[in-house]
Amino acid sequence: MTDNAWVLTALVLACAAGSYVWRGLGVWVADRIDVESNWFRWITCVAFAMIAGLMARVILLPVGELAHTSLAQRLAGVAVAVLVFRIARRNLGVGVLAGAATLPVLGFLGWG
Amino acid sequence: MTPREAWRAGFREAIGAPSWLLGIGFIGFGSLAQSLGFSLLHAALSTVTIWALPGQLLLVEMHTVGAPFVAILLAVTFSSSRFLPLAVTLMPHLRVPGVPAWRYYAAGQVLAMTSWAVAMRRFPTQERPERLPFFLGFALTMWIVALLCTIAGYALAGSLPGPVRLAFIFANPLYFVLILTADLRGRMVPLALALGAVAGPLVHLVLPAWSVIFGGLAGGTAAFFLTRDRHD
Repeated sequence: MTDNAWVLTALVLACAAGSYVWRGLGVWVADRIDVESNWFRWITCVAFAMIAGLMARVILLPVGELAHTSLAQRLAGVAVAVLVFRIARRNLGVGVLAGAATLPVLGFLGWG
Repeated sequence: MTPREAWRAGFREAIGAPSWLLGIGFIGFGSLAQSLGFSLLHAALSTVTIWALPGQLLLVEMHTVGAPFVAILLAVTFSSSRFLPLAVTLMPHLRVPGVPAWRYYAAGQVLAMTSWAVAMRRFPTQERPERLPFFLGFALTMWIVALLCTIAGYALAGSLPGPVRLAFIFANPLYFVLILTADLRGRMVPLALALGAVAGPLVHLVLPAWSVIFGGLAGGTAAFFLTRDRHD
């Protein structure tokens, strides 16, 4: 492997260790932590905000292949996913498939 | 149920809709990793070791835009903080006297959002000794499916027709939009999601390398203070 590949390997393993800190900590404190504490509530807020921020960024300002689609197409895809999910009795698979398929279909139709 | 039957029950529960959905997510991840110039080894390694799709998406996306090592590590680590509440709420159901502690730490490594949700749903109808083998059977199956689908997605990325590849890549953010907004209760989490969704892209315009962590800190801290006195 090249130097870059080793750095990336170290990065992946470091990220895995970083993730495991929470998993292991969770197992360890399972009987001790106060899930009503402010510290716990704050971490929960940051975690949810971070994932939502990333997903919003991927949808609004994507890099890579998604960048070749228009914002209107991607927003239409999200709307279709949410709508079909609700109509199909909260079936995640059907919602995701419908929303994901919206993108190439709109591209094919030349809409957006 | 004997432990062996509980393992099989977990396996059977996983092979079906959960694997199918997870598989699409990881085929999307494999394709994305390939299209962003990640190696197959690193993509597969991230699935086996990090085993958290949002964190893995952060890793490949941030690596692509040239974010510094520490920024990526912090962002991935912070994004996995949801495993703390998941593990904390799951483990008390799994505990059986006499089971060595390392098994629970191993269960922590294979824990994922899906396995947590399924396990919490099944536990009320299961005897306590059945739960750990059931959970491990389910979670290990999902882990292996994810690894195979990462490799499949990576291998298929070049040969999948453009529109199909696009749909698979787009399936990831959609999956999380749905799963995060499906069961919204109270005010704190919805507000954290909304403020995070605003803060993330805004910070990205100014500071792309740190957008996830600063966006999350800004949106999450704001949501925390805005709902601080309302415990709902």
